[in-house]
Amino acid sequence: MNKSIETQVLVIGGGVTGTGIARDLSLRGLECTLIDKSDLNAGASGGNHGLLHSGARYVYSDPKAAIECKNELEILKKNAGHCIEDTGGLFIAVKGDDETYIADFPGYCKKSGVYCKKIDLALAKEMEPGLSNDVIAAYQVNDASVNPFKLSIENMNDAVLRGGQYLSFSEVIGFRLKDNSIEYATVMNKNNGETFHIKARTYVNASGAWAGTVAAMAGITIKMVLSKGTLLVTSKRMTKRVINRLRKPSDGDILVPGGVVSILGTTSVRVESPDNIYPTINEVDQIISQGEKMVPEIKTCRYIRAYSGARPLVSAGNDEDDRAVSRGFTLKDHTDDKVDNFITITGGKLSTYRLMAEKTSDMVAWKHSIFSKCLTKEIPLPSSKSGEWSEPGVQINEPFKSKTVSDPILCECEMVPQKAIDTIINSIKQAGGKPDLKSIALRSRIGKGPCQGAFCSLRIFSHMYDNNVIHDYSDINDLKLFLNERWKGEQSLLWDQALVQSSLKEMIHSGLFGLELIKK
Amino acid sequence: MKIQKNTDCDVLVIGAGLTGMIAAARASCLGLNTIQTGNSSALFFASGLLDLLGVYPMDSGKIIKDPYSGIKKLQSDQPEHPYSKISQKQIRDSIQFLTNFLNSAGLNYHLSGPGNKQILTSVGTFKPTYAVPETFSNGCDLQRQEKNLLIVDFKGLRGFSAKQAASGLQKRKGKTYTLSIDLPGNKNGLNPVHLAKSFESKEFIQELSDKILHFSSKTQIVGLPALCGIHNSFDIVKTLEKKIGMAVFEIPGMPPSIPGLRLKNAFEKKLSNLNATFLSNAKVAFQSMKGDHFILQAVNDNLKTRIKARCVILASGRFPGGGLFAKRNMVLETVFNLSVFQPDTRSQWHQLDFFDSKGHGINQSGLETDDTFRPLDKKGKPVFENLYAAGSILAHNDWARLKSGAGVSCVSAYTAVNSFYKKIKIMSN
Amino acid sequence: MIQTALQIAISLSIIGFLYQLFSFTRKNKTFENRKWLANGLNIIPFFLNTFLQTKLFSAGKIRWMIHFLVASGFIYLVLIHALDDVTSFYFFQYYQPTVDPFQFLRNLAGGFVLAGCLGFLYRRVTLFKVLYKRKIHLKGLVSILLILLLILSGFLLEAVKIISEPVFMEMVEEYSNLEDDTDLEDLKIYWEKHYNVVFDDTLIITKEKLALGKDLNEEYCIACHSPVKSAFMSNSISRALKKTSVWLNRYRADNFVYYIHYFLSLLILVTLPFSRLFHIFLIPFASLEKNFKKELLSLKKGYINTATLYACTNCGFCSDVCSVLPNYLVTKNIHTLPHSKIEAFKQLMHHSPFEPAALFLLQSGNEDCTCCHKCTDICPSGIDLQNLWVVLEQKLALKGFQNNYTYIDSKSLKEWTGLAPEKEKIPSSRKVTTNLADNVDSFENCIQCTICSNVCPIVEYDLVGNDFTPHQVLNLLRLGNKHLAAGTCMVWNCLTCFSCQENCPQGIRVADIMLELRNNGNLRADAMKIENFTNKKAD
Repeated sequence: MNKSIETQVLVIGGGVTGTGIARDLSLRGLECTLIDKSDLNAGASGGNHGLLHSGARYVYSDPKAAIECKNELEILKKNAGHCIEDTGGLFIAVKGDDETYIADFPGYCKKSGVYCKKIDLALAKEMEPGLSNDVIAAYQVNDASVNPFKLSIENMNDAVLRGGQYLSFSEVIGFRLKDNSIEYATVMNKNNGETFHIKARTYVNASGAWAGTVAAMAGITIKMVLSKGTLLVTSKRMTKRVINRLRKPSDGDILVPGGVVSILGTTSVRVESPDNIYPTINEVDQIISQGEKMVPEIKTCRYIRAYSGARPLVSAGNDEDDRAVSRGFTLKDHTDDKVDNFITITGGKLSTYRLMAEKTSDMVAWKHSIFSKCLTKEIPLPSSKSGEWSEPGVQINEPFKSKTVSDPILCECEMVPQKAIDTIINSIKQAGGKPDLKSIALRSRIGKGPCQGAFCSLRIFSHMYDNNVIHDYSDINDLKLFLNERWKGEQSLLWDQALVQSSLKEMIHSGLFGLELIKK
Repeated sequence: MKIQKNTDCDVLVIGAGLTGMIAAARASCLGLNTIQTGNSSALFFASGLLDLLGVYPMDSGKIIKDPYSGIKKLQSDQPEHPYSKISQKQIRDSIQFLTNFLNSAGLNYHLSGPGNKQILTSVGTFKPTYAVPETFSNGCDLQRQEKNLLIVDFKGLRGFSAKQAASGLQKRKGKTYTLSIDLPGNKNGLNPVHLAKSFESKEFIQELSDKILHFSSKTQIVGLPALCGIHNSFDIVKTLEKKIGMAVFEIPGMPPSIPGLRLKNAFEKKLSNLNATFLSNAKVAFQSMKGDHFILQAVNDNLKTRIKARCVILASGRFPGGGLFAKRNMVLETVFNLSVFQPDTRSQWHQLDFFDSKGHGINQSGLETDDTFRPLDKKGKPVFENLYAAGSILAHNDWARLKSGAGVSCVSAYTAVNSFYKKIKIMSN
Repeated sequence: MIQTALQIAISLSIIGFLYQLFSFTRKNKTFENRKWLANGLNIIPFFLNTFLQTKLFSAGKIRWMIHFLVASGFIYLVLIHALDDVTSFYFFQYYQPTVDPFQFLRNLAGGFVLAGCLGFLYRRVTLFKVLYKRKIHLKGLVSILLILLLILSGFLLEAVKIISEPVFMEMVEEYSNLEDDTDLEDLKIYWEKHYNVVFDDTLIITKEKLALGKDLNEEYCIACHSPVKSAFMSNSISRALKKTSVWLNRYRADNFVYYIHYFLSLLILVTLPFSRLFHIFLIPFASLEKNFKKELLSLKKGYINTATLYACTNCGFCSDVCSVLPNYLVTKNIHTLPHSKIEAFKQLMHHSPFEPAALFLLQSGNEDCTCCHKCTDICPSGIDLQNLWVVLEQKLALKGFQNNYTYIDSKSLKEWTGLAPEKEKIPSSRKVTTNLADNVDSFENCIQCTICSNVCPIVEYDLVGNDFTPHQVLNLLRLGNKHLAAGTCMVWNCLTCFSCQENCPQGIRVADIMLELRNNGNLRADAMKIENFTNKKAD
């Protein structure tokens, strides 16, 4: 007999949209459950720049998206300030860029009502000393950077506080259809393989790049186009502001600062499946060769890691260039497809996640015949403690000031102390998950520093043995999985100091411990 | 303003890792006037185990029992591997030289038996190695022992858990116990070097043995993290054994490695007795040839030294040591700008799987040499008459995967110095 | 009238004494009370130092010489000359100011004082300019000038009296019974020749008259008047004045100069408790202070006897021997040096308003003190300077100017890493010359091997492991938390042994970075202290 959960709304997918919907619905008083087949922000929500567009990027290609971006940015700055760094941004053009586009740009901005101010080149150089000498035009815009992990965690926390529920590593493996509607969803706990049912009045498919897969289980075809974008993390913050290349969207044209690092991207490569995507060497080289035109130091600086995300785009049929596909979102009521209580929301972008959640929730509320107003515009997103360790350059402060508490640092690069690891392990256990290095890494900064897990993995792993979180020899595969996960982001940019660091990792994990010899 | 200095020598050894130390040791023992440059803290990364060949063939992931028969196979399969340039006897001689040299510095290596030993590591895996410091010897081939075992860790010593190490012994016949010792006052983490220093106090040993004695009835052998003292580890282990009446062995773990530090101290002590000069932290640049002599400049914080050398041993290591430097698209050699064997493009540098059994292409890169370890130019001729390369800078040598690091270091350094010595001896005759 | 003036002067002086003593004892109460223990006094050195200035002698022979000239001369003049009514006439039956040896000795003593004072002045003009800036203290200068004037007026008085005909005539009238004008003329002739009196009328000198004059002189004058040759100073002045004698005699310059001389002495008497001369009393007092037996020293902690502060004569010996004089040469913070600190301390005791920047300079200067004790050892006034610096430190801490390490430690991290005031407010005695901490390139090559922390002697002795270790400090920097890094104990405890830097396999300048962070932390803490102080004052 399968266990069964009942809820009013089941949200599938724990990205920013899914968590945003969960919060929106909770604010409207609807009880909802959010499930994700791995964990929060495992898809495109975790694989992006963390850029809140001012809208200027889309003024030419997609004026509607530009206006949405502009409005959403204002709301988010007001309501979720603790997740946002209000960096401001520049659009710059370098020698050889399309002059007509440069000339038309202010006009387009004006048409969409997006703020943009032409600034003197000397002033631009003064504002951002790292800029190339080849800059021929510069405009100031209102971009900001956001920590998407914190955003999702805080949204979900607020939803849970208001009666919502979150189940990680729970994958939908099928829907039971009955009388043009879904009766229940069959869900598998990926940690222990158990299956159970979730019965809801409405089902929201917010699974991003996986939206097509999930919809297919309900017998609905959504033609998705998946576009892989790769991004590079530099070891230091290159600029104060977001730097955009003033040209039609292309590779390697955005540099977003966040905390002490900068993120450079991106590429657009069409992929078949959102699973197992990783940055390739060609992409990395392409991004650097484009990026260095804006900021020359990009060519020589050290990179910490690269990562990829798959943009979920809904195909209109005949697109050659994925960037030309509208970045607007798609919200579909599947009543037309003869499934009454199923909604799919996909596409869109991080900047407009709240709007997507609002529109989706409106539709859910309409289906539930609740006449409610969206409150996410007015009520600020509360800040919670558990979002803290996902933040780069965390404040390690007080533990070290109180001279009595024993709290060794386990991850030195990002300075994550033992207590934080213990807290995370407990919270994973409470959510019914199995704590392993990968899931701890998702909730904290471990392994994200320059050592890329070479040292912290060993310290945390032995701590887990010590605390009886794990005890089997076979668990050592966990260590290998974690190191390989980090490797995925490293292998494409190993030269100079990064290669020194990875050689050391090879010396320890292969040379001494011989992990490669372990048979699964 | 830096102080300028001129100096002459027979042999300049660039690098102060294991290879550099062996080269300097050999040269000094042969009575050659030796200067060594580099940063000896590289030895903090050395496990202290003398690997010869632990895995062969690489992609089979097969641990070999007899390293010499493995080497024989390797010599016939891979003529470009450093081992293939010399005879088995030379390998045996060089290992003999190294262990004798270390013995004379008070660091005893355990060489009994012809085959590889299996050493338990802190993560619970077994590492095949040829010779181990005497303090490790009781822990050789634990799987086959049936004695009851106790593994001890120290609270606050991050990265070492007795339970974790013991997890690798689950299939063993004898019982395995674990004990975690909480040192008073410790709060936020112990550093291995400092913990190793406390082993040198009698009170600490007494306290430790008191705690272990609780298990005396149950166990016959005790494993400790490899930090039982820095200076006279063997005596310390012996004292502890006497106190608790059980055999004691050390378990290697993540760096900084104390057995590596012991190597560092042993070499430094012995080399200074042999009057070898050490220019600490000096960056060396090749300037020109003056007749048969190399002219190099070594620069450190306050000293600029112009060195005139008859022979240079390049033991500067691979990427961590700074012997090789990787630009985004190319690998370079840093002192002489020699031609470096390397994969054609960066996409061949690394595999997608970190633990891919084929190993990473970048680890095959390095200097190609003739049979006396002289680096070759693109045409296959030695670049300089008296320039030798040794250790991990040599190409076709994925020592981490083959578990052959110390072996390649020792053999190449020993052979290189010997070849130079032979040459000048013939000349002087 | 003269009597009244003297009485007033003496009363004023006594009131002054009482006021000073009262004010010192009152100020003493600002610190812990201490029991007065007479058995703690060390008597013999106290007497030696008071009467022979033994400490000054060991500190500098020339200065002792100069000081000795003034002191011995002045004491002689006060005891034998000024107070002759109660001393000399009483002790010496034949005493007369104008009789030898007193006449000669008075001139000698006056000459001593004059030479000494000129020595003092010469030093103030020249020596104060070497190596470090010295202020010429008004008090000291005024005291010297007053004494100088007093001595000069004394000589002048004597000189004017020598040549004075009216004085001669008065004396003749009072002490002789000369019957006729010839006798008077004879005496005049003798006195003109041997006593340098200048007479209005022309006298014809003959041998007989001179012999007669000699007889008359022996009869009436010689008992009280030795020949003026022995008044070697005044006599030379009187010769110089001869030409103006008619004019001087007519207007009775002797009376005028007498009043000047007398009032100068009264002025000195009145100002004694407030001028530098007060050291005559304070130094013995201070010597007593310091010579407490060792076991009683612990009682003195935090205690300072204000009187000893004023025993300072600004001789500057302390600064000459100060161990951190080289620091001053680099930082140019004059408060590094004891002679300046003691002046500032006095100012503090008077609750004079201090600019926060000046307080900061005082604190940072005082912080440089290595407690080497050299200043106390050399101080000729016997002030326990070392104790003063300790007390000064405590007093500054009460005002919010403790040393930066303590200051930072007392702050919560939030306060410390929060918004710090603008850098511009910080006085420029501290400098940060390198720029490693802001430059990611200087530490981004760290491979997290922790060797630096493993070889660090500070980490080794941080037994409880509460602090950040060197590689963690670098990581804090990489994570953009420079202020937190500068606030860690590690940075402040660093011995600069350079083991970390020497052993770093990546060649990172770990120790240099720590030093720079400490300097940065100093700047930041200084700025915060100044801001706090300003705010407190504003409240």
